[in-house]
Amino acid sequence: MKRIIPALFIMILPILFYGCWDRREISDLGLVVGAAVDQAELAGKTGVEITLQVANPVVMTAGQGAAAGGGGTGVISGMVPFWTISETGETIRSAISKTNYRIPRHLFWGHNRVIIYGDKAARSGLVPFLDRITRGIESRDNNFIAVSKGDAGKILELESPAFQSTALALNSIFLDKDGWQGILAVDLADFEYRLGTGITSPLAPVVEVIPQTSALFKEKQAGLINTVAITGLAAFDPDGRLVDYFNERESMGLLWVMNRVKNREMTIPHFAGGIEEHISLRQVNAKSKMDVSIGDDGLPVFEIKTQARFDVMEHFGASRGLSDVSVIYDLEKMAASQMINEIEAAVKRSQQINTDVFGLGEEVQRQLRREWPQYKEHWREIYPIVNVTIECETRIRDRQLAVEPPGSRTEGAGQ
Amino acid sequence: MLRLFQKVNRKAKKIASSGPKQVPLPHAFKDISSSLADNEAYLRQEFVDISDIIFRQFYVAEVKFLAVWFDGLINNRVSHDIFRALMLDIPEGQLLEVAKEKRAELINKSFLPFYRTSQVTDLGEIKRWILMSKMVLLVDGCPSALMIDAEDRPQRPIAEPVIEPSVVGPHDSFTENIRINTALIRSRLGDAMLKSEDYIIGRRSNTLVTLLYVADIANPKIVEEARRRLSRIDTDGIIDSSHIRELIQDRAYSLFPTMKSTERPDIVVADLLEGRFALVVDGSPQVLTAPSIFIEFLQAADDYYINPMVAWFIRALRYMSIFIATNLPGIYVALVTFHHEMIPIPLVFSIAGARETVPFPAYFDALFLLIIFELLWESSIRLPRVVGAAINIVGALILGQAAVQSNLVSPTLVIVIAISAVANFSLGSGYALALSVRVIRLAILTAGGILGLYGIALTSLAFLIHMAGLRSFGVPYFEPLAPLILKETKDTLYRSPRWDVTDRPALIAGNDITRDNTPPPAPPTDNSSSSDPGSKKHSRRGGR
Repeated sequence: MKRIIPALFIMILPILFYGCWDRREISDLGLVVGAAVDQAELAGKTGVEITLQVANPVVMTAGQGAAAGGGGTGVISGMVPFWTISETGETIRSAISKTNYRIPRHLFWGHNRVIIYGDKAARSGLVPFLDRITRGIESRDNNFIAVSKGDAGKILELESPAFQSTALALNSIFLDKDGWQGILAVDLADFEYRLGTGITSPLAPVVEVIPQTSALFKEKQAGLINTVAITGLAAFDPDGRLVDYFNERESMGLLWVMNRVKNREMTIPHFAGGIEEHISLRQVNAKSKMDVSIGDDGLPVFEIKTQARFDVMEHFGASRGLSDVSVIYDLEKMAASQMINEIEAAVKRSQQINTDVFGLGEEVQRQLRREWPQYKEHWREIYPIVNVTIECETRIRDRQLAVEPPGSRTEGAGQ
Repeated sequence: MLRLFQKVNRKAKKIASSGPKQVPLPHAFKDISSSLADNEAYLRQEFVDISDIIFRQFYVAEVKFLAVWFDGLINNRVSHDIFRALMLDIPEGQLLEVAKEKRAELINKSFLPFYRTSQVTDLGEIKRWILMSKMVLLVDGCPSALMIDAEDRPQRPIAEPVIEPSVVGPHDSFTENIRINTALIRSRLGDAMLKSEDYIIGRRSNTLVTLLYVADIANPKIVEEARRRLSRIDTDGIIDSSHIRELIQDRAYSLFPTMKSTERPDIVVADLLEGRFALVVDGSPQVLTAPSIFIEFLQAADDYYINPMVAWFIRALRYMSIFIATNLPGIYVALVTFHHEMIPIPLVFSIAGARETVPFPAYFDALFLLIIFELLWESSIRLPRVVGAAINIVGALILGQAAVQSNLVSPTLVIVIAISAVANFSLGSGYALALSVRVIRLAILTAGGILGLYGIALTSLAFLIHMAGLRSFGVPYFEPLAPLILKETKDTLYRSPRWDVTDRPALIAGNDITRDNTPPPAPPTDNSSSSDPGSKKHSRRGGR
């Protein structure tokens, strides 16, 4: 007993400590879900304009805040599920601080998902714009990075019938469609890694506001006709300055080589008796390999070998064909040549703007460790002129549930 | 019904009386006098001012007899039998023929048709036998008396287990009568090595406590320690076996039970077979077994009666449930207060939205709800059965629903506390552990509210260190896990089929470690089938 009573006393005492000066509960927080950073002119000097998307959870919870739950667009009730707030400052931090005048909550960055940089900021070099984001103890390495061709703030301010928060919509796109067609999700850690190598060019997906074709008249009236889309990749030089953009086809080629392709779909023309039909394929797995050797001119020569497997998703036509092995072989060849074209386009483009987005330099460093030092200093001069050969091998794995289109006829056969 | 139980009762007595009865408690020795009048005077003086004692005098062939017993503790029919045997059946001549001193012996040998009788020569012992609901018969001129066990105390019948119900397996449970209880154990364990030692504990209550152990399995040191601790007890009354537990268990101030008390005879028998000892206390429907390890409290009798693979899953569920029961409210409060980034985005929105209108900090919310739950728990035990339903409605429907609607607590928290409460009751047969969990949960909740996950880790570690240091009669509390005995995890982390659990727990059982020699089930070997391959083929063909 002599020991128990003081022990109990000590155990009960801390309860009184609870709820003191630094208590900060989840409902006191302004949860930042997305941030857009632009370069701004501040009295003649360059400064930062930051746009934040902050969640307002009380509107989102069903049964609270009246009709807000059904609102979606946030126009219906006075409260919106996400605020978008913009401020300028000499540094990112000073701009963020200023938002405190207008936000009744404590900003919390732990749930930030997306950081979008404006074209201007990206072209001037992202390094200064990354410091606050990587330094802050609340920010995460898995935040997605994107570049906007125009003003980044405009992306977050977008109101769309399809989603409440642009930042969360982009987050879902990156999580779900990473590797599909030309979409590449790049998080802070990826970006910083490439920046850190000094030879490989960092990449970031490009976000654009595009019209939503399915917009209803009602939505058009309300001005809600746009949505966001990923339309390619932005290539930076190793110092973090945006050089140029890759279009979708070039991005697709890049993804093959980076081994980041997932569920890639392509449509191949198919000729049956002189009529052009189309067959859609979906990639199920793919593997790229890079071999480096020294060419006759003393420069490294790269050999990119890509293997891929596809499923047939659709045969848009009325003739038979997929039951014929030679047709399958043809399809495989066509798919391979399309892949080669894409990769070639990407290589050409990257050499043209002199950005080593493939990490070829790193590959030399890895495979030709001894020779690397002599290239290292001159890599940016060498890169545009190195030789790259491309080899693709494809297999068609599966035709899913049908072999031929329903009711299709072989020529002449009665079946 | 009653007759059936008497049968059981008698059977038990027959077996139990085969060994010498050990009565180690000291009492005032006063030799019995050969004068019945003196003895009667002594007893009357000892039992003065007691209204429910019966002194019955009678004469057989001029010899005076005196029977003494407490009314209500002796079966009326049986006492009738006794008197009939003595007063009508004894040939008078025979009684007068023997020497006066041998009268008691003669009656005992030839004329008392009862299972358990004994000759007593000490008045102090006589007094105690009377107090322990036996009948004592004194014969004039004879310096020894007869104790007749015709005990028939008020008792309830054997019922279904209340605290540790099971779906499959035996459905009987102990009662308040020690003889029924030992009989339930004996009838399941017909081994002469199952030894029993009687202790009479309690200066005033004179409670019979029986120490049971299987002599060639149990560790003699542990049994010796049990004896030592039992004989050390010096208290006035033992009302329930829990009193014994408190008096002899290792760490009285620990939250964790180090002796198991169970109302199921099958569990006691299983424990005895693993080398544990059992303490059956008269007047208590709970039998104590020890040494007890932590894992035991997360097991239920059902585990051994159902498919081992399913038992494996259910055990995993229970290990999870103890974590949920102790930690969930604490983790919730820690996440909501400190580690906002650890909650997935959609959840953070719904929690934050729900908490928006709640005026109190998450910790006080959780504390408030937990205390409400504890109140409901406590009140549902204390309330008269008839009013119970009312409290259920008030508790479940009104309190929970209304608390959320009036924004006193957040709906997420209600779910968290409810899950934790449900997990609390799925811990297996350890009601004792369920009680401890209530307190541990509160401690972890507070730590989570003050220091976040760090605090939870700290508190859990403190509990873990404490538990790892516990011992039950010298056996480490975390036995097979710490110290790790891989072989024994077969019956702790998971459950192997019986033929695979070949050994008894080595730290508990002292001798005869091998428990099972059954070969694993196997299809007929090649030998048997190849002995006559032709006929087999033939028969197969013939079958078609």
